[in-house]
Amino acid sequence: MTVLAVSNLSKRYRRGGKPFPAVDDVSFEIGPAETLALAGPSGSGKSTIARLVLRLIEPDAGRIDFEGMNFLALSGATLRAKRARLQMVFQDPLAAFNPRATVARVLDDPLRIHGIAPRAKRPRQIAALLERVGLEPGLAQRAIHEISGGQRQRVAIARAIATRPSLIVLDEALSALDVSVRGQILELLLDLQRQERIAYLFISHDLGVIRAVAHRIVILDGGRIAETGDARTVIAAPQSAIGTALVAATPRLDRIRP
Amino acid sequence: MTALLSIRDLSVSYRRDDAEVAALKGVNLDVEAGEKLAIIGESGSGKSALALAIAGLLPGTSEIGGSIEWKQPNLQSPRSGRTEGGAKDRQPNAINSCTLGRDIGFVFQDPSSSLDPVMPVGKQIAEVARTHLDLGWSRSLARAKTLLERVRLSDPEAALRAYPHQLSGGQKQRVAIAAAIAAGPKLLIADEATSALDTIVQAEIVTLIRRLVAEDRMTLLFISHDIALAATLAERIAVLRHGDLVEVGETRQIVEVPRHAYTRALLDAHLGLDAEPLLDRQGASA
Repeated sequence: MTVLAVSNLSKRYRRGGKPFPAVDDVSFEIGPAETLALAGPSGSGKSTIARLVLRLIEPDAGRIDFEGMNFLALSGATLRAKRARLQMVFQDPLAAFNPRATVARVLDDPLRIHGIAPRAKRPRQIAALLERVGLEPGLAQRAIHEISGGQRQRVAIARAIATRPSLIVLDEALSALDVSVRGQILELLLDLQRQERIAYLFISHDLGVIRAVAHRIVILDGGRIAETGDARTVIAAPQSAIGTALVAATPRLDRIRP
Repeated sequence: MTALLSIRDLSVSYRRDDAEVAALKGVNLDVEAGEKLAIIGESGSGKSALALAIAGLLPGTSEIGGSIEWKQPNLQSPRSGRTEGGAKDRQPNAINSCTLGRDIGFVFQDPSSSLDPVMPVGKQIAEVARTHLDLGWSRSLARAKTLLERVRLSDPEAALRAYPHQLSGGQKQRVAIAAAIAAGPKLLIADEATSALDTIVQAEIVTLIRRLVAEDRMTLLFISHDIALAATLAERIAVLRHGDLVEVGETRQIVEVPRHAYTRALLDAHLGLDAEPLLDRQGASA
C-alpha cells in the first residue's frame, strides 16, 4: 500500500521567454511511516515537486495518487477533506504564520477549519498538541514572534499533526535551525512517525541529515531523477554524477586536512 | 607567527525591545598574520558581532568595550560607532587607520543585498579598486576583469557588464568575493558566506576562498555555524557561545579532543556521512 504515488510528473516554467523544465517526468512512491528524501542542488526541482504534491501549483503532465485517490481530479469538499491528511512544514515558520497571532490561534485554525474539534474542546486539544511536540501548554498565549525559532518549528509541526495527516511534506524544515535544536526536532519527527505512522516527503540539501532520518532517497538533477534507492546505500556509493558530486561536497569531520 | 590583531576583553552590547543584549562578553583572542581562523557558534553566540566589530561595522548605537589592537605597522581598527578606546590610545595616527575595503575585505551571507542591483558588477568591483588604490577608471576596470577571472566566472568579459540579477547565487558570491579582495586587503572576513548556497556551490566557494587566501597571502576569518565546514578550511577554530569564547585551538585538537563540553555537544550534533543514523538509534526500521 502506498500513501503517495507520483507518476510521470512534469512542470515547465518560462525563464527568459524560453520554456524550462523544472520537473521532468518524475515518478516515486511513499509508503506509510516511510521517509523519502528529495535531494539535489538548487534548481533541481525539489521545491517544485513539493508544491505540486501539495497542489499549490498544477502540473503540466502526470498523475498524483494520494491515499488511493486521483488527487489532481479532486475539488471542493473532497479536496478539502483530503488536504487535512496532507500537511506541510516549511523552512521559515515566521514567514508561514502571522507573526502577531498567538500560538493558540495558529493551532486553533486547522482544528476549526477541518472540523476536528468543537469550540469548547479546542483549548484542551491545543494543550495536548503542544505537549505532543514537547512544548509547555502555557506557551499557547504567546505571540509567534515572541518565541524562539526552535519553538516556532515545533508549533509548525503541532499544526501539521493537528489534522492527523498520513503525509507531511517537510521542505528544508530543519535548515534554519541551530544544530542542537535540529537534533531535538529530528527526534520529535521520528517519534511522531513511529507513534502515528506518518510518512514524510523530506526535502533537504543536507545529505548528512537525510542519511540520519530517511529510508529512501531520490536525487534530482535538472528536474529529472538522477538516482534513487535506499538512502544509506546511495549515499555510501552514489552511481550518478550529481550524487557523487553531492557526496564529495558534503563537509566531513573525519576528513580534516592536516 | 606574528599577530595581526589582538582582541582584549571585547564586549559588545546593544538594545533590543528595551532590553540590553550582551552580544560579546569580554572576549580575548589573537589573530595570527596569515592564518585561517574559523569563528563558530550557534545563533546568538556573538560570532557575527565579533566579525562586525573587527571590521568596524557595528551600528553606532552599540556599546563597545575593550580593545582591538592591530599589531601590524600603520594599521588600527576602523572607526565604528564608537572607537575602541585601547586601539585609539595606542595608534593615535588616524591617517594610517585600517580601512574597510582597503585593509579588510568583508563577504556577507547574502550577495544579493551586498551588491548594488542597478550597477554592472564590473563597475562595482572597479569602484573598490578606484577608491582604495587611487587608480583611474580604465585601470580599475581592467583590474575588475582580472578579478572576475581569478574568482573563476566562466565568461569574465560578459560578467563585467552583467547586473547581479542576471547571475546565480554562487556567481553573485564570486562577484562579492572579487569586490572584497579588489584592493588587496590583508584580512578577509567571510561571515556565513556560503550558508545560503547549496552544498555543491558551497564547496566550490570554500575552495575558491582557500586558493585566493593562499595566493594573496591574506589572513582569513571564516565565520560559520557549521563546525565540519569550518574544519575543512581553518587551521584554528574559536568556539563562541552566548557571547563567551569557550575554546580556541588547532582544528585537529578542537575536533578530536575538545576541551569544552559545549564543543563536544556541537561535534555530536553534527550529522556527518559517518554518523550513526537516528533511525537505528530509535530502533525504527524501513
